[in-house]
Amino acid sequence: MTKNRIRQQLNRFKHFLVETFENVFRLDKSYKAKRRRQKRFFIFMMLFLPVTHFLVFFVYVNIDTIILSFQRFDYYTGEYKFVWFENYQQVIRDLRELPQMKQTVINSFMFLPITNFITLPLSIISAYFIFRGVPGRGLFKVLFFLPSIISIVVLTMAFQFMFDPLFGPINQLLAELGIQPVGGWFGTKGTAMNMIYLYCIWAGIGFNMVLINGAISRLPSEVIESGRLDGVSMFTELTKIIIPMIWPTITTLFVIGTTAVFTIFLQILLLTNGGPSGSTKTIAYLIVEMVQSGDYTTPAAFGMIFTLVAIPLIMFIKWGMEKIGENVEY
Amino acid sequence: MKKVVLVLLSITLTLSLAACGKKKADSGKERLVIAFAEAGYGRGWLENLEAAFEAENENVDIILDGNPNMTANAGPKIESGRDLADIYFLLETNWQRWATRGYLEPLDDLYEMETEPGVTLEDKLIDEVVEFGRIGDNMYALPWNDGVTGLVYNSKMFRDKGWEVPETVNDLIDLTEQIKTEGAGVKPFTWPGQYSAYWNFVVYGWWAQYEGLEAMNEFYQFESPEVFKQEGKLKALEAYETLIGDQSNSTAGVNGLIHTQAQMQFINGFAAMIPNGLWIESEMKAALPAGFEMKMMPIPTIEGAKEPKINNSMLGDFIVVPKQARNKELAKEFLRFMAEDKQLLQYTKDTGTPRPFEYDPTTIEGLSPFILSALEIWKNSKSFYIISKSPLYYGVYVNTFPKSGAPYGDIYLGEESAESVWNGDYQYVFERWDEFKRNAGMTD
Repeated sequence: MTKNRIRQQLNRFKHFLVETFENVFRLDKSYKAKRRRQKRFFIFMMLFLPVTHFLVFFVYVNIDTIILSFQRFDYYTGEYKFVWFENYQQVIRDLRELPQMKQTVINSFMFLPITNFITLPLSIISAYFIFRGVPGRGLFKVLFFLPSIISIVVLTMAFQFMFDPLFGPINQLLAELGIQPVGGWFGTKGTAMNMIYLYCIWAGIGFNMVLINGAISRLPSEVIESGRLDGVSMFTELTKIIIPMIWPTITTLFVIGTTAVFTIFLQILLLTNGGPSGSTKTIAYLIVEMVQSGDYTTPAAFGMIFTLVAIPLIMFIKWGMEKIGENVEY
Repeated sequence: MKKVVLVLLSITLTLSLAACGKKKADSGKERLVIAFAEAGYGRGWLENLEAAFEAENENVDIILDGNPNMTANAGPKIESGRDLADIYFLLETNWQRWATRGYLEPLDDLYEMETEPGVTLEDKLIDEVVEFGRIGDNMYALPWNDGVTGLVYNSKMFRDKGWEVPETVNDLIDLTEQIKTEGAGVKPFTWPGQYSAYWNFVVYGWWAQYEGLEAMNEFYQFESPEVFKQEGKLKALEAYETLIGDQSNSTAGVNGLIHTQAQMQFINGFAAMIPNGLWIESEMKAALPAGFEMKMMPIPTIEGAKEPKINNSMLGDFIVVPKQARNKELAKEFLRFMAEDKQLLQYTKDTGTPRPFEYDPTTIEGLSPFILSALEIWKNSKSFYIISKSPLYYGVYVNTFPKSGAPYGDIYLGEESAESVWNGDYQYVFERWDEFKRNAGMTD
């Protein structure tokens, strides 16, 4: 059978299907109506996957979490039973009474200033240096961008090794200066969480820097050149021209940085495993830990409580950021 | 052309989906899918079993699905009944939840099957673990690995320095002083502070020695908060405090180490002893320096011990067959086959690990001195197993250290004492007991 014969057969089959469909549903067979149907079908097909994905992995999962937060598993009947607000009461009581839980919340909320007031400004400065082509920009690129493209598992291992109590080069340097915590950098309560923050700053700069660099490079060159012709200093150029013009990008990164409070856990898992003595746990880490132990209902309530905190907090921050800076268009 | 490709793709997809529902492989053989946590022991042991089983059952085609994360991945599959294997070999997790929800196939008939003429699988299981898989009236799980844990020591270093393997805790305390004096910078211990529960291997052993196995079993049934008043727990923690509360007995910065870091310190001679288990040899195989020798010592006996020879098994890895598995009977036959003497010996030869059945793995030729030392302990000691029938335990409402988890790091740093941990755990549980029971569905 030749190619043409196959094509003819397929076309006939297609027409047969279309006609049957049109006859069954008594559809308008005009050209316009057909085009309209084709267009609708195309839109439907384009939307079908993302909408289904959204319904299953967002709507369903979240509704299930809300229901679970009001339930508890009964090992005698093998069923979930409704306990209404008992899970919430238990979580709130633990948050009030258990020092470890309080520490978990503090650890998490400390990510807000760390990511927004340390990592973000450092990222802006680094991106600006690279944009200006200052000496050493290559080194900056390697130091800050490398963490963004290397697997977090490898990166945390490298970071841990640098501070290894016996073999770590940075640890040895600090030990020479008489600085060496008894339980190790990741095993002493006073230093372990700070090591995680340090890691997050180091690893976080690269990600922010890429976005900020992209935003700066899109700025109209005549604005920058005009400033330079007026003889503005680098500091003035950064603070008076560049930052106001890339403010929407900064706002986005600020909001993303704030969500870290409620989402960060992998770094903790890989660097300290929540220790020493649970002192480096975060909200998300605790939820993962509870789920892994087979308890789904308490972490559901825990998650719901912090969702109720996160939504207004993030909306307020977004509103505040938009108030501080204008949405520049160019 | 596009349409032809589309038609071909549709046919392929339809055939693939149809194949998913097949109980028999295309070759006409019965297909048995085995999913397993591909952890420290690799997959060689299962490939050997596969070959042996297929040789005896020519109409069977076994498919192996190994994955280091299988324990976490299996839950959603077992609960949804989709994409199921016929058998799951998993590391310790809350399988009781699956059993109570009806996701697991009862294995009572497997327990009644004969592994050798006149000997049922239940007869052959070590007495203490017969009840491991029971929930209510049925058996739902079979124990996978038995274990030997405790203190591993650098036997070459001990031999070269003339140090004696300690028989009692007091001997061990004396030995730590001797090591610090004669060891030229070698520390007595290294251990992974990030996974400080490795000290459970030794501390539970001391506790079980002091209280006896019956009392330990009583503790883990959690009939009342008073079990947290057991003196053995305090004595064991005090022994730990004496040894490890003295920070000069451990390598620098030990509290922040992960297990591989601690094990690297041990095999490179920075410390003479490490709390560990049978798996350390295979886990560190690639990194062992030439000439390095290690052995496992029996847990030194604590003063006042009722049962001086205790092996802390840390048994928890298990085998289950999902209720909706396609080849449940074949799965059970495979598990029965695994418990035959010949296969048990082969298993230990391949993994260096015993299974909790009555057999003598020390007769296997070619085992390393380390594995042999551990198997001798297994053979000559009473093994301690944590087997709890209490929903308080497997529902994770109460555990051994309920207040703050394993307390070893805090005791090492001097932030807690043995007594404060012991009292704190009791107080914590005592205040919440009724609530825990209610949450676990034990009371209304």
